[in-house]
Amino acid sequence: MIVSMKKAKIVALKEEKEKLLSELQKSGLVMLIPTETETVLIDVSKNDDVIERTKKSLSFLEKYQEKKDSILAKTEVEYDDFFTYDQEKMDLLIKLEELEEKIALTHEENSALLEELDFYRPWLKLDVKLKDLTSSKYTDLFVGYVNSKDEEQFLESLDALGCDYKLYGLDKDKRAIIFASYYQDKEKIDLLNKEYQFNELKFEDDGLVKDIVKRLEKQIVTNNLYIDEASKKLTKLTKDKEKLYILSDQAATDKELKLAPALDTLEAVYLEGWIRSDKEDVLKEVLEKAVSCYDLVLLDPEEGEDPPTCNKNNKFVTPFESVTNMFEVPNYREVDPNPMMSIWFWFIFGMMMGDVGYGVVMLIGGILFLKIYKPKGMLKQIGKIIAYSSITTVLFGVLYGSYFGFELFKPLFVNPVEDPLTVLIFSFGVGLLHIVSGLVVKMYASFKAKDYSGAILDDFSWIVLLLGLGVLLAGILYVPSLVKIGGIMMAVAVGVIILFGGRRKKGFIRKLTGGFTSLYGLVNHMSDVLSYSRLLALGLSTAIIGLVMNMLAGMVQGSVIGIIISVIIYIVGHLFNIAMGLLSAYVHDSRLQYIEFFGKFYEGGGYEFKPLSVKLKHVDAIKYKEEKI
Amino acid sequence: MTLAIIGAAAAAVLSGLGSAYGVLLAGRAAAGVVSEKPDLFGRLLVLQALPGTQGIYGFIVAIMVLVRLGLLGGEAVAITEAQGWQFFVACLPIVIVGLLSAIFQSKMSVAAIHMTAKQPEASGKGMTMTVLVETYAILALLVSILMVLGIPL
Repeated sequence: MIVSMKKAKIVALKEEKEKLLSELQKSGLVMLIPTETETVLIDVSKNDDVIERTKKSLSFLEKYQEKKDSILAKTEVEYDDFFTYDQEKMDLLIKLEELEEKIALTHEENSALLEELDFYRPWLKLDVKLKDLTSSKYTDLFVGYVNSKDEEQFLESLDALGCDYKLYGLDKDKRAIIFASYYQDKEKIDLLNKEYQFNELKFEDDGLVKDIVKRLEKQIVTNNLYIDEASKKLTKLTKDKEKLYILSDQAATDKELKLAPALDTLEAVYLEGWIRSDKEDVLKEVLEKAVSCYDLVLLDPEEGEDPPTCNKNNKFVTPFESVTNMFEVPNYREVDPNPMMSIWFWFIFGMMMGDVGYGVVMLIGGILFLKIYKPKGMLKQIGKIIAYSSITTVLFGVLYGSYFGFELFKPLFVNPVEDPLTVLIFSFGVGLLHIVSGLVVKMYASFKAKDYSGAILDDFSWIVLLLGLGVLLAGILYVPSLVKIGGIMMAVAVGVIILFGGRRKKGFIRKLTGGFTSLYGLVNHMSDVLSYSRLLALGLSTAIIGLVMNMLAGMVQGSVIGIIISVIIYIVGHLFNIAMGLLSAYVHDSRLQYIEFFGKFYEGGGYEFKPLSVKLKHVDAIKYKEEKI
Repeated sequence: MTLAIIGAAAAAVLSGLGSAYGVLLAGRAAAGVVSEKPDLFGRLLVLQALPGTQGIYGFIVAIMVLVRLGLLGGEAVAITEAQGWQFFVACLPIVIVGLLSAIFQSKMSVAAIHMTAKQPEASGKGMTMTVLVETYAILALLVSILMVLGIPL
């Protein structure tokens, strides 16, 4: 059912604007309409900044948490805690960010230190202070590296020139070397250096290499100690994670509030929004409490106005609304398609899965998913749809005699693998009824819109025509006595459609041909019905993959290991089949609703009722002090 | 016999290849979107998986042929050359339509993924459009199955 809406116009004192808006947000009753006048760009960058920063800090903090949150963990916060904006949470955020930055910097420093350490390591045995490595009056001193593959030749050349040299450690594939030469040989040495790509080095530091290395190592140890300490601090702080959750959701809630469209005058504030007509009194109560004086006008939606759509259905239908909304939200003025659609979706889903075992798995899996994972929004609805559809899946499992792909009991109806033709005809029958039910909804809508001639001459005669066709075919195939009834139904309906199909067209000829052209719609309906052959095809594919898995498992049995492997094949194979089956059942079931069923009557083009409310992403629930309104 | 097995093999191989390529194409597009918007992963995974069904259809037909020939457990049935041809031809619908429709569907799927990237709420519409392509693979599957089951031995 689509709930009727009222337009609320609220005027209050300007100084109470914030209080008013925040109370309205807490109550979650009103969907404010954006004001038409030019809106000043509202600055919410601070809120976005906080949201972004908490997100970053939270993901950073996750690494330091000792044990993971159990999936059952639920963040419930006190009312006062959520709605008081204190500096403490912000301080926590800043503290976290500082720690994060310091840790990052220390890591960076450490890697620089390690690089330096690598640089000095080959020279560890050098027992001269680095600044003393200088050339003297008659000798030139060279410090540097030469490729180790050229080492021997280089040394030979040095020997030939009568140089004195000393070898040190290796840096990867380079030999550390110091040599002294007579100053008059400088040109020859330069040439030699060029030939062997001698890599000359200048030390920046002074002192013994040994001491430098010791100093660097000590610094690294100190840094590591600091990182350890900071990590421990962070691990402790993970307990305060909830504060960050609150901070983030507070910022989001506040952002929503700031963006709320309100018209300010000199002294007053004016709000306009949609509310559910059954919540009028609650709104009055909220206003009474929130502000000292106010003026509230409630109006029914006028022609040309476009109120939001709020569905109110029973527990069974509600999850299926998500299927419709994924296609298009129904518009405010049309008949809610969900009650009729939900039953068909549920039925067809079971027909495509069609296995008792799979139904049981879906039921258990669906309930566990809902209880343990506690999904919100779309996923929650899908979980419920799967749990509900387990019932029809079991039903069709019994009809098809399929129990995890085994035929434990004789099928009550027919085994689709052995007799696909019967199931194909059954599928077409289901399709015909599905389409007819779409036309019934259309007829109901026509009645509601007081279009009686349309309801009877168009919609009803089509219903009779299609049903007659079904009866006729059933007669031809199974019960010959039905042929006559079906034939009469069809003949009458065809007569009515030809006679009146063109009544809204202008001119005699057009009226006459209009009837025949509208009869052409039969082709569309027939191709729609053929589309339901997928009920058989998908049912078959689940059944056959199940069979194959059982066959594969049966082949390896024979030894103990074989039985273990076969159990694995049973479990993995059937889970795979269920997952693929669920995907195609969901997708193709949706398609049948969208194209074949909705195509008959559905308008769509509405938008969902999303009232101004508290934005909860991290926090799961707020404990209200008083009864939640 | 050989002809029938060639048909079964072709059904599994070609429609499998088509699906693999289709899922790859859609997956590449989805990965690009997920790198920017990780929240959309669930919706995109569904869209990516859609061109994957043709491979399963081909697999089903292949298995049904093998079952009918008695190659999976039990005695192998001796068939004539004419019957071999019949099995071969019965596999053709899913071989051809499975291969091509998986590729075509993946192109639609990529478009739907791009649409979802820009408008996450439109993923349902994108899904429907993509599924429309699959209709014909389902019809081909159905024809192949009915033919395979209907060949007299």
